[in-house]
Amino acid sequence: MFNLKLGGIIAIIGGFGYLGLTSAWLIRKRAEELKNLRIAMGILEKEITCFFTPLTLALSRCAPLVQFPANIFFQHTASALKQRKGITAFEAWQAGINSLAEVSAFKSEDVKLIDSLVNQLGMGDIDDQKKAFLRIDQELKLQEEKVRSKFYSEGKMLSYGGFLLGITVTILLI
Amino acid sequence: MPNRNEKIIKAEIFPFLPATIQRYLAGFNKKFWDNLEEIRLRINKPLIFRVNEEEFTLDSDGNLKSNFDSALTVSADDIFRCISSISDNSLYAFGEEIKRGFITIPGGHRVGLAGQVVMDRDEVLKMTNFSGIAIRVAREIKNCALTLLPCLYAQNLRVNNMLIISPPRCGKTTMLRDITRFISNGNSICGGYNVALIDERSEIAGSYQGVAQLDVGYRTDVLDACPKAKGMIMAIRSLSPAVLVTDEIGRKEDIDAIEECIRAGVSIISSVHALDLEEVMQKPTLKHLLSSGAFNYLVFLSRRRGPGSIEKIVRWEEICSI
Repeated sequence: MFNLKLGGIIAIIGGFGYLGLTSAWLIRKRAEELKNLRIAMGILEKEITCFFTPLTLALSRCAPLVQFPANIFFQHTASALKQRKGITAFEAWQAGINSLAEVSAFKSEDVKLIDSLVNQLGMGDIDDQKKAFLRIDQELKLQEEKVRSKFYSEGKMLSYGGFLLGITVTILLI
Repeated sequence: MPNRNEKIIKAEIFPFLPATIQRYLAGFNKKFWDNLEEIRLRINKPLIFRVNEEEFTLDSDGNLKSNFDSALTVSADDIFRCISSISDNSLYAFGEEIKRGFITIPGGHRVGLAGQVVMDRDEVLKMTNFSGIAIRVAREIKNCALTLLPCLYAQNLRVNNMLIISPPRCGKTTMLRDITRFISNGNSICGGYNVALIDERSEIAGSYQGVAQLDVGYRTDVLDACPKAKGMIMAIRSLSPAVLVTDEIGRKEDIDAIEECIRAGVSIISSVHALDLEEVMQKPTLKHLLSSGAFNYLVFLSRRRGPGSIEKIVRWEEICSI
């Protein structure tokens, strides 16, 4: 009986602790992914504004150079464009965003932010592209800082809080 | 079996057209493809095909007809999709082409653009809000210049200076391309010469990303999208051509450059927009050039028996002796 109770206590504390740790890890992961995406956008910007590389080729060239999850996003967008079935950058970008949302820790506000770039992407002159990338870089930076400060303020609380909540629940149940 | 034009158009132009239009065009007959010269898309206006001298549109069921009432209209989305495809969703990569008003697609087909032009002082800065597209099908008619061969070379086998004169759409560019190919590859009269082709509007070689899409010969160097006058001087300085080919001369600087080339011993083959010699002579710069005896031969073209019909070939000396 004692062993069973002990097992239950460990399971409850462990379960809540795991949830807390995972939540904290997800915030940290989201901040890292935002950073990776911002760097990836910078590389894509250089490919477009310095070398005037067409969007499909620019995305294909950048995909192996950038880190997860931007590599998945660029690959999916490039392959949608490569099919040449009259698909526009807007539609291909949407397809890329869908695949990004599936594999990343991004929240809907991050996805909306990335989505906002597509209105200017490709279908403007080089100055329009520079402006669009500058804007997305600044917005991603702000978002990243916001998520990082959230991690610093909430990360420890979530990490320890999960275990503490587990202990509280155990005490209440006993 | 699809004929060559059908194959070419389906492979090179189809992918850029909106899916709805592609679907309708798929069933058209051989005669249509053989003679298709132009496809025009304008927002909220009927889709127009120029086939020889006639214009056709589509009805809502996709049937070809010449009456434009209740014709299938082109939407803003169709234009957007078409421009997106043509530019590979990368208008920024075609900045210079858009400033000139057209983009050349693989195969050398020219896509003319209409829209809102943004100016910076006297220069075109960009074009936005596209409202119309004119796709001009590039055609190579090999050996169309065969009848000109005897006039092309002097007795010492030097290439004669030749000016092709015709109104628009009479095949000047096609003729120039074939002459370039003959001179460059060599022919029954003479071996090949180095040719510099100054293709300001990317029409003769139909260059896509700098590479000629149409056959302009083995020994031809193409200065694509290069202003004629500058290109001619650049070519004689760096490419050592025996012959220089360029399209539609007329500006003062073109004439000066041609005179410079002739003085440098380079033969010139060129063309000019005009109905007849009288019209050419009304242009002071050209009158001056012709009067100096710069061109040995003048070739007049028409559409009487289809584009590229040679009306007459005149030796300048004969004109002077009359």
